[in-house]
Amino acid sequence: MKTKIIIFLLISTLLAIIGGAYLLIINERRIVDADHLILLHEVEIMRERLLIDILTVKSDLYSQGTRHPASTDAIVNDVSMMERTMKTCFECHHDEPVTAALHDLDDQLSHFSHAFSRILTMRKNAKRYDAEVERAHIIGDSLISKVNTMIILTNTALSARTERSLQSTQRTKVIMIVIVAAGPVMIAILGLTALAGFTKPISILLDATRKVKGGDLNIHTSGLRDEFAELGHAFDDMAFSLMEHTQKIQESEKRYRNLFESAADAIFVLSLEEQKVGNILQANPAAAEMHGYSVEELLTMNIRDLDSPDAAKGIPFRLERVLKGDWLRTQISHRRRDGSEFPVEVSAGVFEVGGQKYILALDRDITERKQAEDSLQRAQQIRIAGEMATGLAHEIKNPLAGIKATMEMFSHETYFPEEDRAILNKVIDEIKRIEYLMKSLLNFARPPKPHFVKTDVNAVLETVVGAVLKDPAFVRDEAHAIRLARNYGSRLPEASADPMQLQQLFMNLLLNAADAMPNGGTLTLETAHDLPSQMLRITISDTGTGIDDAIISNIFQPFFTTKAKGTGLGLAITKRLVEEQDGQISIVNRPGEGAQFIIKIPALQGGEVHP
Amino acid sequence: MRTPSTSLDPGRGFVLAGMAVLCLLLLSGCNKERIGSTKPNQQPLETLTIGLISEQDIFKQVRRFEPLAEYLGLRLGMNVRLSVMPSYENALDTFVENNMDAAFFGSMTYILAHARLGVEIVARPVALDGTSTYYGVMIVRTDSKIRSAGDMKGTRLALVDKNALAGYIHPLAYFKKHGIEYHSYFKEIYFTGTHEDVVYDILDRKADVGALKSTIMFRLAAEDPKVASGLFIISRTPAIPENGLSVRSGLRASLKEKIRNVLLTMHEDPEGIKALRDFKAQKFIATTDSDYFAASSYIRELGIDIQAGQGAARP
Repeated sequence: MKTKIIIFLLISTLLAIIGGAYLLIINERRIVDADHLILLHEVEIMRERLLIDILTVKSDLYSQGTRHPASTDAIVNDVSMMERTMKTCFECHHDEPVTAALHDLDDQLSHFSHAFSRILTMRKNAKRYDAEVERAHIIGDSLISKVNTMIILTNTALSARTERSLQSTQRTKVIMIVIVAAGPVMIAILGLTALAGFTKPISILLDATRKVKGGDLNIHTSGLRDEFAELGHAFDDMAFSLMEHTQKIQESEKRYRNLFESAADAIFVLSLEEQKVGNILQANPAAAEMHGYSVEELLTMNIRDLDSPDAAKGIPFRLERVLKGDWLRTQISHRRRDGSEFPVEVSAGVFEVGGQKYILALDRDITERKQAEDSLQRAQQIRIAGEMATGLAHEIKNPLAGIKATMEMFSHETYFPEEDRAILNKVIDEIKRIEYLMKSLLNFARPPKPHFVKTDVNAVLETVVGAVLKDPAFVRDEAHAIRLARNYGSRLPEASADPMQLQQLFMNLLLNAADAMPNGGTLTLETAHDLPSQMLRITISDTGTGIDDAIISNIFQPFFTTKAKGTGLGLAITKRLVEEQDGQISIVNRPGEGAQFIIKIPALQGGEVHP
Repeated sequence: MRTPSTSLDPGRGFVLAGMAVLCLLLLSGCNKERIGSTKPNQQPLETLTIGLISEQDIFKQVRRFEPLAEYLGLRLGMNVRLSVMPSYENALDTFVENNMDAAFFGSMTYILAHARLGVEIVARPVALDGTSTYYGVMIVRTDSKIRSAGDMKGTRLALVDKNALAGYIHPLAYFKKHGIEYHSYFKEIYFTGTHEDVVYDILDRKADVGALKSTIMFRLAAEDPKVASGLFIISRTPAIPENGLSVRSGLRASLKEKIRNVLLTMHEDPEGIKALRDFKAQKFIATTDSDYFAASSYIRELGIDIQAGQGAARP
C-alpha cells in the first residue's frame, strides 16, 4: 500500500507538474505571441509614425519657397523627430533583410535630411537651389514609397500573424479547458481508487475488531493486500496470541479454582471494606465442610460467626496485625454449625486485587494433629513411667528373689499346716508373676543390642513353630485346635537380622494369634520377597475375632492390653524388635474375621538364597 | 473542533509555489516597457536659447550640440534650447529676431556681432587633437590638376557664405594676393551655406575649388577616409580661434559668469566629460575678444568695414 500511495502521489504530482508546466508553457507562448503581435503593431505604428514624420518634413520642404515657410527650428524639430523615429526602428530585433532594408531607409533618410539642410543653408542660387529642392523631393518621395511598402508588408504580416495567434489562442483555450476539467477528474478518479483501497481493508479490519470484541478470537482476515495484508496477519496473530493468553489465564484460573475448591484447608476471602470488615466474600468447599455450612451460607456470614466465643474476643487484635501487613499465624478455636468447637491453625494476610484490599485466610483443622500430639505426649509419659518402672524393677528384683527363696523354703517346712503352705505357694506364684513382669519390663525398656547375621527367615519361622506347638496355648482339643498353614516363599534371600530377636518377635505374634483364636482356627505363615523394595515380607494371619477398630491404634502401645492377665508389653516389644531389625510392622484388620500382621525386614543384598 | 495549523501543508505549499511561479512569469511579462511611455511632467524652467551657426548639416550640428546643451541645462538649472542660424549672412538678424541669449558664432560672425551687437565671447572648445584654433583652407580634389591660383581659371568655386572668414574672406585675400579678379575668373561661384557641403561638393565634383575651415574638413576626414585622401589643400590662413560661445549684451552677469564657470570646469566633471566626448572636444578654455584681434586685423586688411550696419559684410 505504501508503494501504491507513493505511486499515486508521484502520478498526481507528475500530472500536476506536467499540467502546470504545460499550462505555463502554452501561456508563455501565448504571451510571447501577444508580445509579438503587440510588437508588430508597434512596428506598424512606428512605421506609420515614420511615414507621418517624413510627410511632415516633406510638408516643411513644400513650405519652403512659399510665403509662410516653416521655421528652421520647426524643421530641425521635425527632422529630429523623424530621425529619432527611424532610430527607434533599429531598437527592435529584425532579421537580416529587414535590417538591411532599414539601413537603406536610414541612409535615404540621412540623404533626405541632408538635402533639406542644404536647401536651408544654401545661399540663393536658383539653379543649384532648385536642383537641391528637386533632389530632396525625389528622396522624400522615394522614402515615402518605401515606408508605405514596409507598412503594407507589416500590415500583411500582422494580419497573418494575428490570424495565427487567434487560432493558437483558441487551441490553447480548448487545451486549457481540457486540462482544467480533466486534471481534477483524473485526480478524483485516482483519489477514489486510493480511497477504496483504504476503506475496504479498513472495513475488513473493523469487522475483525468487532469479532474480537465479541469474544471470537479465532479470526482469519482475508481479502487484504500489501501492508493491509501484513496488518491483517499481525491482527490475526495478535488475536491468536490473545486467545492463547486467555486460555492460559483460564487454565491458570481453573487450576487455582481447583486448588481453591479441592484444598483440604478452609480458604476464606474476607472483606476489608468499612462496616463490612470480616464479611466472607469467598469460601471453598473445605471451609463449608469443616464448619458444617454450605458455601452459600458462608457467603452470608462474617468470620466472627465461625469463631468460638473465646476466639472471637481476639479478633480486633488479629485484625490489627493483619492490617499492619503482618502475615498472621495463630491457632484458635472455630465453632461448627452444631456448636461443637475444634482447633484451627489460621494463616491470614492482606492481599490486593485491582486496587482493592482483601484478607486471605487459610484455616486448617488440627484436631488430629492435636490428638497425635496428645498421644505422643502420653507415650512419652508412659516411656518415662516405664523407665522408672524398669529401674524400680531392677531394685525390686533382688529383694524379691530373697523373699521368693524364703517363701519356697518355708513352703517345704513340714511344721507349717497345709493351709499355710497353700498360702505360701500362692505367694510364691505371685512373686513369679512379678518376676515375669519385671523381666518383660526390662526387656522392653532396655532390649539387648541386635547381632545382625545372615538369617534364613523361613528356618527361624520353623524353629519358632516347633517351639510354640508345645506351648499350652497351642495344645488343645480337637474342637478348639489351631491349624497351621505355611506358605513360605521359594528362593527367599537371606535377611540381615538378629535370629534370636526374630524368634522372640515371631513367638510373640504366634502366641498372640493363638490367644485371638480361643475357639480354634487357622494360623497362616507366609514369606515372600518384595523385589521393588528389596524387603522380605513375613505375614502372620489368624482367623480370630479381629481387632476392635477403636483400639487398633493403641495395640502397639506399652501397657495396653485387653487381656485380664496381660502385661500390655507383648506387641510393644514385638514392634520394638522389628524396628531394631530396621523393619516395619503393620496390621490389616478384618473385624470378626481375623487380623493379619505384616512384617517387612530388609533382604540381604547378594546374600544366599534359600529354596 | 479543529485548530488552525501554523505549518504549511505540503499540498498547499506545492499549489502556492506553482502560483508564485505563475505570478512571477506573468509579472515578468507585464514588466516590459512600452514604446511611447510618457515621463512625469517637469516644472517649467527659465530658457536659455543658444544659436548655432550652420557649419555643417544643421541637423547633424544640432545633434552634436545637444549633449552640451543638456549638460549646460543641468548645471545651470535652466532649459537650454538650441536654435539654428541657417545663414551666416543673416546670423546677426536671426540672433536678434529670435531673442537668442548666446550663440556659437563663427569667427567672422562673432567679430561682426561683437562690433555691432555687443556680444561677448565667453569660452571656446579645445578639439580632441588639443587645438583650439582652425585655419581657413582652399581645397581641390586630389585628382584635380589645379594646384595654384593660375590653374583655377574657368573652374567652379564653392564658398560657404559671405560672412564666413574661412569660407569667403580667406579666398578673397588669396585672390587679391594673386591679383585675380575672381568674379570673372571662375566659371561659377556659389555659396553652399555650410563648410561641410563645400567638402561634399568638391568630392561630388559639383565644384572644383572650395574654401572652408580646416576643422570641419578634418572632422569629415576622420569619419570618411575618402575625404582625407580625396582633397588637396592649396592655401591656408593663420590660426583663427575656434567657434566659441558668445553671450548677448545685457545678459545678467551672474548667469554669464555661471555659464563661463560651467564651461570652463566641465572637463573636471564626469558628466561634463561625457558631454565633451559626445561634443568631440577636450574642454573649454577662457576666450576674450582679444583672441580675435588677429582675425579682425585680417578682415580689416581686406578693407571690410566691420561696423557697417546690419547684414553681410561687403568687400
